Amino acid sequence: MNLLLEISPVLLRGAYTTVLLTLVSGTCALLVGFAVGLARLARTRWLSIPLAIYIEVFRNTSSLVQIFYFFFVLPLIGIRLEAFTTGCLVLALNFGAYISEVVRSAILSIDRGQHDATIALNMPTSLSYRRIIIPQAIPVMLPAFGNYALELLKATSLVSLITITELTFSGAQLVQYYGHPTLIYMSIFVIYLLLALPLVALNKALERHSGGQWKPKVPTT
Amino acid sequence: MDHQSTSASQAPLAAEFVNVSKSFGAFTIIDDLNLQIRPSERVSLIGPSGSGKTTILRLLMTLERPNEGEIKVFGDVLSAGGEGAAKARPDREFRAIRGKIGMVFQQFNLFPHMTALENVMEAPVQVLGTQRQEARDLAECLLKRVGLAEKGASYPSQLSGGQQQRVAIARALAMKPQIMLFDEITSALDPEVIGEVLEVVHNLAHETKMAMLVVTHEMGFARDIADRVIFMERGKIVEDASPGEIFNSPRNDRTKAFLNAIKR
Repeated sequence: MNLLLEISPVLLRGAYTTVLLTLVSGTCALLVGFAVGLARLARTRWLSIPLAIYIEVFRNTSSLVQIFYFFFVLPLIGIRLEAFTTGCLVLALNFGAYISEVVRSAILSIDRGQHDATIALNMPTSLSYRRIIIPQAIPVMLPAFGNYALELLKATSLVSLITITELTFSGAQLVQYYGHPTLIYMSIFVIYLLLALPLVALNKALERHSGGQWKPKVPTT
Repeated sequence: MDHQSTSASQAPLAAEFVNVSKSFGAFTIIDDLNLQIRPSERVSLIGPSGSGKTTILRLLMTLERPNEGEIKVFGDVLSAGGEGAAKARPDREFRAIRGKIGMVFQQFNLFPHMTALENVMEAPVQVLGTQRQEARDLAECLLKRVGLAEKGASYPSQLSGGQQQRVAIARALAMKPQIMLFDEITSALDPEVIGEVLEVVHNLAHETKMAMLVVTHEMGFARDIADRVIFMERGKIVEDASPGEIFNSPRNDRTKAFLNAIKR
């Protein structure tokens, strides 16, 4: 018990870093995902080919290798970033690639008739997307976003390998210093679980709220 | 053909198709078609499925682009076949022309995340820049006109098919089009609510001066609403005459065969 009290400040600081990594890279991943997903829908070739390459590279290679690459190889060509920035950058690009596909497929899932209606009402494309198409596509995206948020929370442990003292890394350091791996790793285990719960709850609430009103749950009269 | 020669000297045509062709892959759906619609004219398009009736409406609404030919609206070229012809026009000009046309769809295509009232208000506010209060008044007035004054706060999923289609008509009217396209607006409806939708359109025909282009399988409706009926087959106009002539004494054998088949 004494040991727990002694290590808790370190674990909490690690947990704080994990949360910060998740929030920053998660927000950036959403921005990247929406930008890339929408840009690919525009079907301009000079844009969509490089973006397709980006997505496939980041989806089909190991995230760990991506992190190492950015951390160790970029400095060789003169780009020096802090470890935290590098970690967020790679996680944002990696998850952004997945999210862009979620965004793209959710938007493609919206009925062609909705696009037709916006044209018949003389809406410009940007307005049509902003007011009609994207608001309907977001409820389609939410379950996948929830999954990726949880994945991201856990994936932040990868950046421990580029010297960022997040939750997993601080635990590993504590084990080296104090021993007691069972207790310490069990605490980490529980902390990850506690961090995940609000994400799950948030996602549930969002799913309920958005679209809840208009989804046809009552049979039409 | 009489219609076209008499109208030539008058005000510009509401819509004009000049040698328009449209194909999907190897399948030609509209074949070198010429068609003229005068302002305030009510035209029914009838014919077997696949004859290209709906495609005419979709071309005019710019939901499809012609492969060849030109489509004009009140004298301005709206879209044209060939490379870049339609793109050459600045977006603002293009939309100024397109804004003269409205359309009601077979599947209603209401926005499911908005209430009936919001559906009707959306385009006036966002596209025309109408003040919200003014748009709301207009929307309420239009919903009343289609008999749905109390349904403004309902979402489309809470409305019957007939009610949804009437909201869709109100939504199209809110943009004050000069040409209104009705694309098989009763085909997705239960038989018992078809009447209420057709009644709304009949009233519109009496109360407004919009040109109307109606694609329908309801022959009674096609006859009653129109000044002129066009029978189409395989992407071509086979017969173009008054409702009386088409339905009582069609000249063309294929028109006769089609109308006989429908009667049975």
